[in-house]
Amino acid sequence: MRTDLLDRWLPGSIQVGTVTSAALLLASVVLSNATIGWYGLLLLTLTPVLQLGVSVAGFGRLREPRYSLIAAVVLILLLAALATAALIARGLGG
Amino acid sequence: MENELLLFAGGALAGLLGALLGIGGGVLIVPLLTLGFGEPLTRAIGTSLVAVVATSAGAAAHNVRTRRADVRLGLTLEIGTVLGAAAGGLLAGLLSERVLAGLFAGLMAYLALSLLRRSFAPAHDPAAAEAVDPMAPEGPTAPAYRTRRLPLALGGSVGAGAASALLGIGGGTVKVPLMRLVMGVPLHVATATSNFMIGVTAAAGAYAYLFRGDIEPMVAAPLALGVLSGAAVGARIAPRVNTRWLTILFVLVAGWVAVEMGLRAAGVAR
Repeated sequence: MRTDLLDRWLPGSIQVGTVTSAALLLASVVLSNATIGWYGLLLLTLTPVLQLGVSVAGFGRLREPRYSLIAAVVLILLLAALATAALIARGLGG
Repeated sequence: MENELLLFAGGALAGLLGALLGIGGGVLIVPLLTLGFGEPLTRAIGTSLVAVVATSAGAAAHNVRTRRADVRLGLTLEIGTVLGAAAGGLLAGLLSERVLAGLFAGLMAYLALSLLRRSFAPAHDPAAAEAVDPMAPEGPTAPAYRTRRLPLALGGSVGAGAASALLGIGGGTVKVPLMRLVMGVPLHVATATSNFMIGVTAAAGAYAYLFRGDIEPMVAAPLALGVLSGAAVGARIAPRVNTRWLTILFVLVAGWVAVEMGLRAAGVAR
């Protein structure tokens, strides 16, 4: 039974997302650039999307379709929350 | 630059205390920003949510790698928390600051009381923490516990997600008792699983604040970097630190914050 996708890739995906966004946040503070900071924050909040994507693939590879499907449902819900927030903000902005 | 350094230091302190006390940084960041930096409550809650995503990242990676979190259970309950958090994030934009302050005052009072009870309760048996492997797949090596009442827990998870997005917290204060008392999950597994879930829940709530413009990047960026650093240091030194006096100090601070927020909710203070 291969568990490497969950045991290594799942923590790895979280760390990659966090380190990349932390680098962007640091750059925004050093350069006093709010736009870079906004994208750093967006990337930070997208780290769970990566985490869920790895979970879908990981459970698929472990031949546990039930949990692969559950992870996919959570991923879709999270992306729907992102899209809804963006659409509402765009609507409010005219 | 002075303000950024203060925010970094404040975030580092919140991350450090959060990791030492096992409460997450959100409950400390919201009062820090509102009472310390004069930020509006809605903006403080949104900023706190992105800081919670940052805090949870380190803990989540550690808990998965060391097989402490029940990833299957966490994913299942995330269906409820993500729905609740997405709705809570949108709802927060419609609620007045006074209502949010009242909710936050209630949370701080509850947290102060539960931490006070915990500090006088006997410590749990560390040997029991090694007895189960929540990451084990179905079959002979499956976890030595069986979860129960999943529909009820899923309903409670919606509430935990909404609380997270409305108050700028990770929601562990709801998720851990839910898993422990409703589902019968051992405490250490419930705590680790809650930490694994917090980032996903907080992100779902944060999107509404981020796109509404309720998160100021030049406030959130140094704060999140501080929280990341503080939480990393806290996680390393936590096993060697006696947190009893720290807990009592936090209880006093939480009591003060509850009163301040309560006064704001009543319209007595701003």
